[in-house]
Formats: sequence, C-alpha cells, structure tokens
Amino acid sequence: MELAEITKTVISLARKVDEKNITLTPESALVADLGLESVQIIEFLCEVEDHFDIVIGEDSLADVVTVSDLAELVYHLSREKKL
Amino acid sequence: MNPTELNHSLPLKNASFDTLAEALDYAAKGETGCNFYDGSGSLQSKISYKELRLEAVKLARKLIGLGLKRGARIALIAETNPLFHKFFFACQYAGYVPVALPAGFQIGARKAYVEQLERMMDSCGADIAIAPESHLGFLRQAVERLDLVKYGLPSDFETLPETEAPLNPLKLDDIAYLQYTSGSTRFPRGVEITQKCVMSNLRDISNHGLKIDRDDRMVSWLPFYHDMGLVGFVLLPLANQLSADYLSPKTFAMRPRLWLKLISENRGTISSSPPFGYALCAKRLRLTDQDKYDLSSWRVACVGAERIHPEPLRRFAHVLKAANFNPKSFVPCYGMAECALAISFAPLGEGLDAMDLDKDLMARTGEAKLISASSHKTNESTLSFVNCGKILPSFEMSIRDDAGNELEDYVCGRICLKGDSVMSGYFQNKDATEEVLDEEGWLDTGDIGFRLGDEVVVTARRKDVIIVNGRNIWPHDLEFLAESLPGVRFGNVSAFSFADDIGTDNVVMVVESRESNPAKRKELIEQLQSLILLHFGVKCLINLVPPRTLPRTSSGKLSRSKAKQDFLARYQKSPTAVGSSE
Repeated sequence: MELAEITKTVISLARKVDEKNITLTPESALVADLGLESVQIIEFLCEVEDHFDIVIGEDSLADVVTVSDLAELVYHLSREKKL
Repeated sequence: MNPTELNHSLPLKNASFDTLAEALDYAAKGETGCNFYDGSGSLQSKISYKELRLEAVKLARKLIGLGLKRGARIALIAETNPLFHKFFFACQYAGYVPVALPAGFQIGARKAYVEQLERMMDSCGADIAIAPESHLGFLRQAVERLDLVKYGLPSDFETLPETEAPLNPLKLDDIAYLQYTSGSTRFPRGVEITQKCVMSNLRDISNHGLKIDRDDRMVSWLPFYHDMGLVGFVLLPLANQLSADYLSPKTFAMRPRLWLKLISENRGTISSSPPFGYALCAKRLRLTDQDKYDLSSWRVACVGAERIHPEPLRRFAHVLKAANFNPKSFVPCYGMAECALAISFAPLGEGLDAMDLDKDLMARTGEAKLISASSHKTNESTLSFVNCGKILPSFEMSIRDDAGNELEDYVCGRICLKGDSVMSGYFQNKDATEEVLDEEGWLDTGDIGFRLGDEVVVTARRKDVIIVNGRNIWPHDLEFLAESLPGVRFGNVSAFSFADDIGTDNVVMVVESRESNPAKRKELIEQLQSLILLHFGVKCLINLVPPRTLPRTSSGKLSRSKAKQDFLARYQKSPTAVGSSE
C-alpha cells in the first residue's frame, strides 16, 4: 500500500474516535488537535494495528505527533513485514 | 512451547526467607517460573526460577567486575520481559540496589519521558543504567548530563567477563530496591525498601492477605516499575515458588480480553488491578466473547490503588457472569509503595462490602455515619465507600486528627502506620522523609479514612493527588506546566480533581486571567488543554477566573482545598458556565 493511501486510511480510522468532529488533515496532531486521552489513543492504535496487521512498538510512538507521522510509521512497518 | 509448571515437588514456603536472594535460591530448586505472552496472547518466552538463578548469579559476577561500591544503584528500564528479572536478581546477588524506571509509551512525548528518566536517575544517583533495545535511544539522551559509570543494552553487560570474586548478596538490613511511584514527575522520590521490609510485607500478604497455597498461579499485566506489578506479581510469586504469567501493560491496554484469555487458559487463581483495569475490560469486551472464557479458577481479584467505586466492578462481574467469574472473588485492598505494597485486605471470598455514609455529616464533622438502605435519604446525600479490610498483622494503625490526636472508630482522620513493612525513608531525601516519618517510626500516609477496630475504610487518597486511569498526577506538576504558558502567571493556577456521580475523577484547573477577548480566552483554554493532554494524557476542565479570585492563606499561599470548594459551588450553580473540557 502506498503512503497516500495509508494516510487516507489512518484518517478514516481517526474519524471514528474523533469526538470533536474536526476536519482531519495529514498535519492534524493526534493529541493536541483530536484531543484524545491516553486511553483513547491506545484504542485508536489498536484499530490501526489490527487494520494493517502490524505491531507498533511503544518506543516508536514517542516521536509520533501528526497523522502523517503515524502514516509513515505504518508505511515502514508494513514494508518491513513484507521483506 | 508450554508455560512453566503449576505444581512442583518442592514443599511450599510462604516467603519465610530473610532476603530476596534466599527466596530465589529456594524457588530455584523447583520447576516453576515466569511466562511472557506477546501482543497476540501467545507465549513468547519463559524462564524457570532455576534458570533465573543460574543466569542472575552469572550476571552478578560480571557486574561485580565493574568494581562498583556495595549498594550502588542500577537503573533498569522495566519492560515486561525476563531481562528485568535477570538484572533485578543479579543486583540482589552482587550487592547492588536495583531501581525500576518506567518504560513509557505516551504518544509524541519524547521530551517529557527523557526528562523524567533523567530526574529519576539523578535522584537515585544511578551508577549504571540498562535499557532494552527499544528504549536505548531515550536512555542515551537521558544520561547525557549525568555521570554514569556505564549504560547500555542488556547484552553490553551480559558480554562482560565473569569474575572469580565471591558473590556479595544484599542482607536483611540492606536496601532491596528503590521504588519510584509515589513522587511527582518534577520531584521524584525513591522509596527505600529494605530486605526486611519487603520480606515482612510478602509474608503478611502470603499468609494473611491472600492465604497462598501450592495450587495458586498468578497472572498480571501490571508494569514491573509499579509497586503492585513488582512486589505483587514479580516478588510475591517467586517468594511462594509459584508460576506467573505476564502480559505487557501495552498489550492489556490495547486488548484487555487477552488478560481474561490468559487467566482462563492457564487456570490463573490470583490476578489484580486498579479499578480502572476492570472498567476498561468491561467496556471493551464484546458480548460474544463471554463464553470463550472460563474464569472459575480466579479466586482472588484484588482491587486497589484508587478509591474503589463499586459500580464499575459490578458491571465487570455482570458482563463476565457467563464466563463463570465469581463476584465474591473481588478483594478490596489498600496499600502504597511506602509500605512495600500492601496494608490491608478485605476477607477472601466475600466480595465488595460497600457502605453508604451520610455525605453532609462527613463533610461537616468527619464523622462516618452508616445509612441503612431503608432510610429515606436520597442518593445525593450519601457517599458509598468500600471496606478495605483488616490491616496486616505486622502493622499498627492510628487514625489522627490534624493536631495528632488519636481518633476513635467511625471518625475520619489521617491514616498513620507503623511496623516492619514501613519504608526506611525516601532515598537521600531527609526533608521529604521527615515530612512523613516521625521519630517513633509512624508513617503519615497522607490518606484519609476511618477505622472499625482493625479494619480500615479509606475515604480519600493522598490529600491532593489526582488519580486518573490508574495514574497518579500531582497537582503542582499540572500547575507548573500551565505556568509555562505566556499569559499564565506563576502562582495564579490551582489544579485538583473531583469525582462525579458515577465515580469518575475529573481534572480541573482554575486559572486567573485578565484576558477579556472571548476568542483569546478560548485560545488559552485550548492551549492549556493540549499541553495537559500531551504531558499527562488526560482531559482537563479549564475554568478561567478574574485575577484575585483564587483563595489564599494568610501567608499568601494558594489554598487548593478552598479553591476546589469555591469551584464546586460555581459548578453546581451552573456546570456549563465554569468552563469546558471540550
């Protein structure tokens, strides 16, 4: 799957947990813009993992701020899995 | 791969050892051990106590070769895997003090996490720090300004040459480990627990609290850097030669049903959680999942760490009725890192004993008056509390008023404790120690509650601490963060929490502001909320008030309790006008 497509999917998964109903773009910050609490973030990441069939390491999350950061991480993890 | 055995030929010894090293020496004669399950619930690795002892001793000889002083602090970033056990016990045999550090996973929070690690290592004067591969990058940043002898991956230490030097195990009066769960993130305090202290608590828990026998098997997802995770589910099974099965906290948070699956498949008998864990599980469980599990083996489900609200637990029990979960397995308990782990347990097999008390009387006089179900009092005028049971035999308890006078049954006051399981102090922090421990050895827990003979009912935890989703948040950490924003002045912020009708803790911050432009006020509120979410992972209700609204004491200090009272008065008048958590 290409990065653009992954980004789209991540956005659609994020919409499910977005209580504020904001317009999500690749630049939206997951915590600051969506206003997600840690428990909700985890629920969302669970959806992302299940959807793409990957495992996101805890350590790689520390640098994830925006939707596109997460999409890139998913992109790399799915590529690694294929190799 | 099969998990480690349930039973073994070894006669059960309930923590009757002087030190943790001796406990492992004995457990290593049997066939039990620890099992680690991955994110999909499959057994990933295991280590028997026999192997653990061999490896810990070998590693101890390598660490001794580094020539550190006895009692040197070894910081371990504590992921849920066997490396933690190996290094923790290598320290026990080498005469070093292990310090478990959090393995954090907060999204986008690299800076905050690195700073936290740095402060903890600085506070304990760590000589060595070890991180699993996933966390090495954070550790590297955190040690930059510190003066460590060595830091690195477990393999950097496992490949050191083994020395011929004799082992130098920690003894009865030596510090067994330091625990960093009670302090604030800005001013971490390492609770100093001696071998005598932890062994006394383990004996009390084994013989009186849980009445452990040889058919028990323990299951846990609690982090190893937390007192309930470390003492309750790493040290307790080992001191009783029981097998233990682990999930990582991340796995539990993402897929709580795997906790139930593990208990069901391995016939776990003891597994505990703060109330939020049961609530999360009940919330995320699919109804179709229920009959996949058989939880009839689960005899002890301890509930502790926060004020216990009965409702979420009743829901958990209801959802899992079809899976044979027995609600009488709930065991309310009370404890804290300053007492190694546990202080009291409710009687086994009796479930929750919730009592309804007169709310107004309690607020006015501190008196706890039971309200019978037949009385005409409405829900609004009662508060429900859970009896946390008898204090363990090694403790003496005293409930005191602010002047230090001993209070009688049914009167709320500060819970004070004395005994072998009380910490010796906060590590190298005389001031903080003297604040809570007096010369006679009485620990002022800071918690509020009342007694019924030997039983204790906790009505409020840690004067000011905010507990959300099992995490302790110190109000001054929140206030400090807010004060870092332009437009918020130092000393013009007050943070606290209040529990709503269903027992959920809401975080509130009252901020004085001169800003009158509505758009700018909204912007300030949003900035504050984002900042708090990012650093603490919780939503916060922000209440902007005019300057000089926050109540101050005669010495000019902010009064948090008065600020909360004032806020609640405003809130009750008009919940929507005081601000928004959206």
